[in-house]
This record gives sequence, C-alpha cells and structure tokens, in this order.
Amino acid sequence: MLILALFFMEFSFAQNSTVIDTSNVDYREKLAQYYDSQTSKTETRINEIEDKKIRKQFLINYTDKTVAFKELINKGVFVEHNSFTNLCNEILTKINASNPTQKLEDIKILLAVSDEVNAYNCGEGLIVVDLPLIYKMDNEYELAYVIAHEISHQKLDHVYQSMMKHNWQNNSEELKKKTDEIDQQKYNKSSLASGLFKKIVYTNREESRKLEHQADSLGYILFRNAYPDYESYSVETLRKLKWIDEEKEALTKEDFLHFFEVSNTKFKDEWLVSEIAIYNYQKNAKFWNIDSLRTHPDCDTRISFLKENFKIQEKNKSVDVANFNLQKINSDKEFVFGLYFLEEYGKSLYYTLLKSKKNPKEEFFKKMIYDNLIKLRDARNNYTLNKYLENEKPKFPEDYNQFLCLIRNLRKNELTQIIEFYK
Amino acid sequence: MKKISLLIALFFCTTFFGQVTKLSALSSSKFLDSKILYEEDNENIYGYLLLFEKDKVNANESLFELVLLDKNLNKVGSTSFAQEVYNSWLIKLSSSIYFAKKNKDNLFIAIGQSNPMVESLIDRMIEDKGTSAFRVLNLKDFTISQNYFIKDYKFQLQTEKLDMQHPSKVMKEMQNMRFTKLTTNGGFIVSDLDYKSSMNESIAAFYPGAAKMKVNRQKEFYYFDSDFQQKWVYKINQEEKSKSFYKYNYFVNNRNDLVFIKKFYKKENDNIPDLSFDVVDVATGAKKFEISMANTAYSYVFENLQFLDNKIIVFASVYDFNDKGEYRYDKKRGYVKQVYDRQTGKQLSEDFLKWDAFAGKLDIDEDGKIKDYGFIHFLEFRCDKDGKTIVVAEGYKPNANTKILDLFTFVLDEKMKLLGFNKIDKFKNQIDNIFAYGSSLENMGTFDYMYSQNLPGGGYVFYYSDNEKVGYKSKKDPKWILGVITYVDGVFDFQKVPLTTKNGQIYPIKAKNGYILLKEVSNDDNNKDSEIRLEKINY
Repeated sequence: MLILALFFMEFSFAQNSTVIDTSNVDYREKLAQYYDSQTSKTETRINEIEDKKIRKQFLINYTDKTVAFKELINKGVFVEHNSFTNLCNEILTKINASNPTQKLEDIKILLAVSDEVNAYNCGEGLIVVDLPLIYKMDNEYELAYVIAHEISHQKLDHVYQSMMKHNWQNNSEELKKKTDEIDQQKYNKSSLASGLFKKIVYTNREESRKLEHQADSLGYILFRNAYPDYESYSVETLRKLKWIDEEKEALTKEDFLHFFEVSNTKFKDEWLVSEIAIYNYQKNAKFWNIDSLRTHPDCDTRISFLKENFKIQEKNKSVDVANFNLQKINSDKEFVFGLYFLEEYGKSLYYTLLKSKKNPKEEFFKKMIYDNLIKLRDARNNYTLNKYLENEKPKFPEDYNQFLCLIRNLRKNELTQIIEFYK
Repeated sequence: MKKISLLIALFFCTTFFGQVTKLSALSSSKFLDSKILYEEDNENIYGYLLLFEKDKVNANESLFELVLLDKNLNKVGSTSFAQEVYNSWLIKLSSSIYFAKKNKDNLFIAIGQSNPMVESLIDRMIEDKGTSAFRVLNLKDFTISQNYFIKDYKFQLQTEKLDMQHPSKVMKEMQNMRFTKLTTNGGFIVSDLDYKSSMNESIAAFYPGAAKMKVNRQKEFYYFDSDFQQKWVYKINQEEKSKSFYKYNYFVNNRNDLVFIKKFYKKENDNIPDLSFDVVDVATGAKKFEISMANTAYSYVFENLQFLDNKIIVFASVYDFNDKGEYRYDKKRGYVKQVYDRQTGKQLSEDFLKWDAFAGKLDIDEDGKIKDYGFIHFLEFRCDKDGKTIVVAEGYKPNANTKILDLFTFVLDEKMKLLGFNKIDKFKNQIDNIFAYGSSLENMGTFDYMYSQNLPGGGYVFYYSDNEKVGYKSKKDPKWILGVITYVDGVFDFQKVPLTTKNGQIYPIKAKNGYILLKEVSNDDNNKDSEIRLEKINY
C-alpha cells in the first residue's frame, strides 16, 4: 500500500498537483482512536437500555457494525485530501457557526476512497463523503447541501434510533407469536412467512423514506442558514443526485481499437462480442415490489417535498466555480487511482481508458493502464480474475460489457503484447 | 455417452435480509437441484437451471420454482408451478430435474421424484436420460406449461391432477405412458417400452455389465418433431418367433443424422451381442447405413464416435479373441480409427495405433503392459480439422487394490501415427478391493480425468483432478488441485490450480467454453459464506 501511494505521489509531484495519500498511518491511527472514543459513548448509551434481551442483541449488532467500520479505517479507505479535507471542514465550520443552537461541534467529516458516488452518516458523529461524489459536484454549495443532509441524520439520531427500532421489532412478542404460528403450520408455511416478512421489510423501508424527508428538511434549514443566498442549491443538488450514477461518456469500438491494437496484436471484432443479447431477461420482479423496497424516496418526490414545505424559489445567485474546479483538477487521476487502491482493477482500467480518451497525452493514465493490466494478468494466472474484473451483466452499459468481454477474450500472448506496449 | 459428473451441486437457497432471521428462513425456498443447460449443439453451455421448492401446498402437492441463470450466472428469469408429489413415511423421495433441454425459444424440462442415492447413480451412468412427462418453459416470457404426457403415441397436456394418494393407480396409468428422449435437434424419440424398461435398456446399452432385466422386445420407436407431430416410425424385431433380436438406443443426433446404438443378440442370453450403429435420416426415418464393430481378426470394443464435417469417425479398442471368442482385457493390442463417408456410409480408412508406436517412450509390450507400471487407457479423443487426434489417457495398475497412475496426452496424425507424447505426473489414487481394467474403471468413474471443451478461437482444454479422491483411502486433509491442460495452435500447456485455500475449499464446476466455475467454500463454521467465480482459462 505504501509503495502504491509513493508511486502516485511521485507522479503527482512531477506535475505539482494534489494527491490522496492512502498510506497515512498516523491519520489512520488517530482516526481509529477517535472512533473508539466515540463508540464507547454509544456503548454506554446501549448499556443503559433496561430490557436485557434488547440490550444484548443491540450490543451484538453494534459490535458487528463497529468492527466492519474499523476494518475500513485500517484498510486506509479514509484519507486526508489536500483540498477537499479543508473544503469540507470549512463547510462544516460555516454550517456550525450559522446554526449555533444545533451544537455540531462533535461532528467530523471523513473522506473515503470509493467506487461509489455516495455520502452517509454512520452514527458516532461521523459523516462519510465518498470522493467520487465530490468529483461529481459542480460547486461547494452542492457539496454543502449533501453535508447538511448527513449532519441532519446525525442530529436526528437516525442511525441509533433505527437500530433500536429493528432490535425491538426483532424481539417483539407479537412478531415471535406470529412467526411461531407460521412455523407450526404444516402447509403453505413459506407463503405465510413471505407475506409477513414482506410486510415488515416494506414498513421498514417506508419508515426509512420518512427519515430521508426529515433529514432533507433539517438539512435544508442548516444549509439555508449557512448559505442564505444559495438556498435553491438544495433542490439543484437533489436534481443532480437523480442522474449522478449515470456515466455520460462511453468507449466506442474505435476507442477499443485505439487502446488495444498494438504493434503485433491485431484488434479482433470478436473481442467485443457480448453474450447478453442472446437472452430475454425477465424485467418484472416477481417477489418484491421494487418501489416499496426503496430506502430513499425518489429525487423528484424529495424536490417536491422541499419546494412545497419551504417555498423555495429556484433562483440561484451566480457562483464562481473557478476555485472549486481548481481543487478538482486531479479528480480523474484520483478516481482511477482510488479504484486501483481498492483493488478494483477492472473498473480502474475501464475509467482510465475513458479518462485517457479525454486526455490522451496524460502519461499518468498510460501508467495506470499498464499497472491495471499487470494486476489483471496476475489474477488471470492465479485463476482469481473474477475477484478484480466484473462479469458482464444486463444492467451494465453496453461499452462496459464490451470492455469486460474484451479483457477476458484476450489470449495470453495478446495480453502480454499489450502489456509490453504500455510498459 | 458418458455422464460428465459435476463435483458438487451448484447452488443453494437464496437468502433474504437478516433483520428477522427466523421469518426470513421460513419464507426462503428450499434448493433441490441444478442442471447445466446446453445449446442445441450439446457442446456449448446456454446457462444453468435451478429448482427450488417454494412451499408445500398440501400432502401431495408442492409449489416449485425454476430459476434460469445465463452462462455468466446472471438471473435471466424464474417461474413457479404446482406439481403433484408422492409422500410416504416408508421411502424418502426427493424432487429433481430429470432432464432439461433447450430447443430454440423453449426449454423442455422434466421434474420428477426419486431416491437421491439411486438418482445420483443413474446420473453418473447416463447423461441423456429420458422421461415420460415434461413441461415446456417459454424462454421469451417465462410461462411454463402443464406436464405433457405421451399416451397412445400422442403428446397430451395434463388436464387432471394425478391421484398421489393412490400410487398404484398412478403406476397403472404410467404403464400406458411412453418414454421419450429428446434429440439434439429438438425432436423426440418415443419408445414402445414403458419408462422403467426403457431406462434399464438405456443403461445396459452403454454399460455392458449393467444388471439385465427381462423386458418385452422393443418393436418400434417413433420420431416426433419439436411441435409434437409424428414424423415416422422405425420398426424392428418384427419376426415374433425369431430367437435372435435387436436392441436399439438413441445415441446422438448431428444435423440430419440420427445415430442409434444397435445390439444384435443371437439368442436370448447372448453375452456378447454384435454392436453396430444405425445412421437414420431424421427427415424420413430411412436407414442411411450401418457402421459395424464386427471384425474377424480382432474384437473391437467401441470407445468413441464423432462427426467431423462430412465424415463420421469411430474409435475402438482392439483386443485379441480368446478360445471362447471373447476378448481379454489384459490383451489389448491398441486402438483403431475408422473413418466413414457421412453420406454413403462407405468406410474411407481404417488405421491402427499399436503399442510398439510408444517404443523409446515407454517400455511397453504388445499387450499394452508397461514394465513395472501397468496399462494405459484412452479417455478422450478430440479430432482436429487438420486430421490430428488429441488423446488424453490415464495410466493404471490392475491389482487387488487397483492404482490410478499418471495422465498422458498424445497427438496422433491422420493415420494414427504418434506425433506427440506427454506424461503428466499427478496424485496416484488407490481403489481398495477392486481389480479392474480400463473400460471397467472408466465406467466406475475411478479415473481422475474429468472432461474437455473446445476453446473459443480454436484449441481444446482438458480438466483432471490431481488429488486424493474423497471416500477412497484418504488422508485427513488432502490438498486439492485442478489440473488444466490446454492445446492451442499445436502446443500443450499444463497448469495446476490449487483448490485448497487458507480457509476452505474450492469446488470446480463446468462452465461455458474456455471458463471454469470455482465455488469457494469456507471451512469456518461461523462464517460459511461461499462465492462462485467464473474464471477464464489462461490460454
């Protein structure tokens, strides 16, 4: 891990640019200590629960959660970023200062290397913002609204309360009675259990959607108080979130030819042939009602909710994005390196190709192509390629499926020649 | 055709979220069975079919779910249906997929009940099992039909539920139902024998040593197209009083040719019936020609038949006759390759590979015995378009406790001349209390060689297990290894994939051409998570 980070720094320094440092052991240790101190507060709280059974179950679930989070810390997923760490802290300070009654001093923002575009509150006063989310933001106000929304989840104690609720639910006498009744049935047991199970899951999801509205409301207030002239960025951000997962760029056959037809290796059309087309994938989900399963209301509903409740006028003060964009200048490189760090070599290579297409002279991307191909070749030699390269799926964009097919369809000697080319 | 046995059942029950664990468990479907689905060519994998029991509706009816996965393990779709089941405290039966075959936009699927032990034995013995009832799953919309039964040589949709509370009535009704096997082109061969007799005949056809059951002589079989329309009838054994008779079994279908294994019994208890193959025109039912294994100089024991462009190629072991006119397992002279014109049936060539071809490589005598070693048995024949044949063989030492030895690969030219030779060292398994020779050991599934596939873009891959077999004289903690041999552009490459991990075990499962499924299972009782990976063969 250290070597990777150093290599990246070497490149980055050469271009005098911002870096992410995944090898900062000091930061990791301090964060782990901080997390321990925060979790001990929650544990004290859990230990105050009167019901012994609930308390015990809650502690088990909570320990599972904290162990998983500590693993992320130790893995180096949370990083300090030369620009964004400061930016997020400035936003937090501003929100805090503008909302003195809310007492937000205990809140800390963590930046995460991730392949997802997401932000979440994990309790313990911690807000996690995935770096790719920041890369997708157009200005600091959008980022500020996301942070305000997550702060609200923390202020409203949603994580703790949800865990508590689920523990009560799982241990309720009523549910136990109903479950035992079903268990005693000789026939149609599964249908009866499925019916009740679905009802519980749907109710929980409905509750979850309500919590999102609550966080949107408080988040809006925190945000408006901090940025009174930019209140409409609340709805603007939600509008952006609707499409944030969609990749605007794609690789064409010509791009694949450009990247993979090297000196001795002739590009073959059959490399790109996907097997998805031979199946008629069933579209309607049979068991679950997908709408009822959503944890979040859809973005249009959230926008309407905010607009109706807060009479938001969609008129934004003009924003100077030059400084924000300057901070994002290395985001493409950071993104593909982040994926490489997470050992998502297939994704890292795919996005490297996309970024390299946009910026063909950038040597860093050529190096990332090489490094990812080396990792993929090693995995292939060890029969573990599938751990690092996804399989084609009907839900993936066509060009990504083609990319996945191509990497797998390359013969050993072809892959070697391509690697040699990028060496 | 030999059954290519899977090492383990493929998949297991789906799981739901963990909040309400018991309820989730109660609502989960129970995994019953899985089958690999092949394309119409019987070579390429189309996907995987999983069978679940969703619920027990009543004592004699269950609600089943079929889930189809594509060759990359994505879910394509699912469908549910209720079907009668037989319930008894006396005998434990389990529902399974008897067969599943794809034909264009349909899957023909037979779901039945059997004793799992018996079923797994039959599974090992014959790949293309027949059925007397099947459903049709539409691959476009995932609707599934009621069961089709074949009564009075007509395909009839089930209209009434079977009376499972009175099994004798059902059995009686079953006697009127005919047995069918699906051909590769989506047609149906329907026999005039009942289900049980037909199954027994199928096993006996491929395994000479299988227990014989006296059955009525088969007089005819019918051919129906994929729309269930009768096309022709093939008559056999029409002379009632004749002592001699024939037994026919569907063997393979390629393009317009149907091939039947035909055995001629000179008398009722003929231990060595004459073996031949009838090649029949699928459109008309007319016999095109016959390929006979009879030979006056040697005894030919059939090993393999394959189509290559406009030729039919047959491989057989060559034995000397003994005094009784029977062949001796320990006196194998080598192998013969016969090539026939596919249109006329004319024999174009007959070439031998005798053991002296291995002089300088093996200290082998004319009976095939290698000094201080044992014998070699050929397990795979892959005929290339350039005339070469790639052979995979395995060494063995017949003894009171027979030993399975090394793996061999040979390349033979068009005339069976040895061009290439490789000996691959692997784990030597010992089979206690079994004294047997090549064919018998192959039928018992004791060899370590698994199967072969075409590689996309040309070439072949061969798989074998290189570890101690479970259930034999096994150590406590054997290291499992999957042997992978590729033959691409005339060059062999030998790889060994470790199947024992730090925390558990990896089970190899047959996958689409050029790939292997690896199911990784943890030994940790507290964390039994497993993952299935589709891994590319490294060639």
